[in-house]
Amino acid sequence: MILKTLYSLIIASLLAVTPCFCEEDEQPEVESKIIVEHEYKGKSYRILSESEGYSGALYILRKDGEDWTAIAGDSSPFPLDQYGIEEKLSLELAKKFVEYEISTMGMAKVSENLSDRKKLPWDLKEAYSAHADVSHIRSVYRAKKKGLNPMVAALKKVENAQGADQLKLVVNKELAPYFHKIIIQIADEPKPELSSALFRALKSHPSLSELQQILAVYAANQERDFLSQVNSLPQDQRRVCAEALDAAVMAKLVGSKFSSPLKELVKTIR
Amino acid sequence: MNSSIRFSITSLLIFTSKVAFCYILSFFAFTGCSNQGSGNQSGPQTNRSFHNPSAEEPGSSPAATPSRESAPAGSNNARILSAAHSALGESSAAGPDGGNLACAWMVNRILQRSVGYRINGDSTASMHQQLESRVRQGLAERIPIDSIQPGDIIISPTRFEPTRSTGHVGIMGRGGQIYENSSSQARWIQRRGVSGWRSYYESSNKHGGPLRTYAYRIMT
Repeated sequence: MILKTLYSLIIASLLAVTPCFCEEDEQPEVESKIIVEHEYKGKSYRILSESEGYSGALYILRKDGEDWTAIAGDSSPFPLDQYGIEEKLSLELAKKFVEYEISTMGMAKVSENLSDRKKLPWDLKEAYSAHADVSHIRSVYRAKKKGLNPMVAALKKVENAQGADQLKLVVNKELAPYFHKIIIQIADEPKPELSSALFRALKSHPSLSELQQILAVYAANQERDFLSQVNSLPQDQRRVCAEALDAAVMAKLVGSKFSSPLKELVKTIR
Repeated sequence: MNSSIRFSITSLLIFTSKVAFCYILSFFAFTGCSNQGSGNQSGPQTNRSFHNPSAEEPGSSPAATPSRESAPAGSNNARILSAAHSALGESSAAGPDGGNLACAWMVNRILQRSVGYRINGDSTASMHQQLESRVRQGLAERIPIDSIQPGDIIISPTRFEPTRSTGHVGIMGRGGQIYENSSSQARWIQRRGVSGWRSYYESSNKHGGPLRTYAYRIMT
């Protein structure tokens, strides 16, 4: 007991003279740097780069009266129109950001970054195109509005697309921005208008893998709702659904844990 | 009483109270009453002391001990872990803003090398959304943070409203230490653990306010 007490006292003394071991974590200093200043339609905008040691982010600030308000921000917030920023302003800010990058990093480093990119936010791609050949890189578009209507509208545009070229364009530009939102919505809380739009789009383009994938996610996560909707469809559309589900499983568009239940479901609705 | 004597007495009092406090702590540690080292990840304000300071940056907390120290050979986790480890020390200066904004960019590069694709979007918020989407597709799993394993992705998404709070993304490594981009060094490093991560990003003292932390496992 005496030894234990002595040992504890020694450790206690050591800890007392090394206070950082006992005290609250210190937050690193935040370094903020305004890298772009811009005027658009009489309003002032800034791009602020903020770094906290390990992590960093870009914030788009707008001057409202005397205050600067953050209207967008992330480690790379492009395309900026995903935050409801006008496309023209998004492009102007992206251009200024790219100019800043080139002036600070050098064109060689920027080219290195671009060399293995398969996709780029559309505004950044447009901005880079003034300095490098980025024509082979696909554009990424983002949803501008939240809510169900834009998702239904995107599926409607897919439904109405005619010909392979138009379909490809519509999928990239109209459906892609909402794809992940649709997946999450239909898996968590399917709405009749969304599932109806999906079935209609699938009827027009039954072999489109994006639609097959959404359908499989719907069926796997919301089996009861899916079955009630599918069972109300005409026989030919039910067959289309069954084939699309089958194709999604075969192409491994969903994880293996969903494969068996989906195969059973295919048998049910055929 | 002159000021130097007053200062000495105050310092002595502070030192004595620290000795007393730490004595109580260490006594409980020796008698097995402390919860130190229990691996409890109940919140960011736990596990403050008795850690190896060389393993983490000053001020950070000890690493969480993942429930399993190695990913099964040939699994996605093993591939991601291997690529993350191989990239240690790699410069991210070619990334956004010269590496200052390159956390998601570097994680994407590691994923490209290991599982053959990127979780699109070099931003933490879009990466988080896409990981959630992949969970619904059965292509990824959301993991309780206490069960995070080497090769899993750890992410605290940035937010800009109501206040600016900068988030981060990294890959869990062995020994409870996370691989991540360092903005200040523009380099892929491994220096802090889950507790250190959470005590920073989830702290109410964090610049811009606390963020939430999520962990994901890439299944396919």
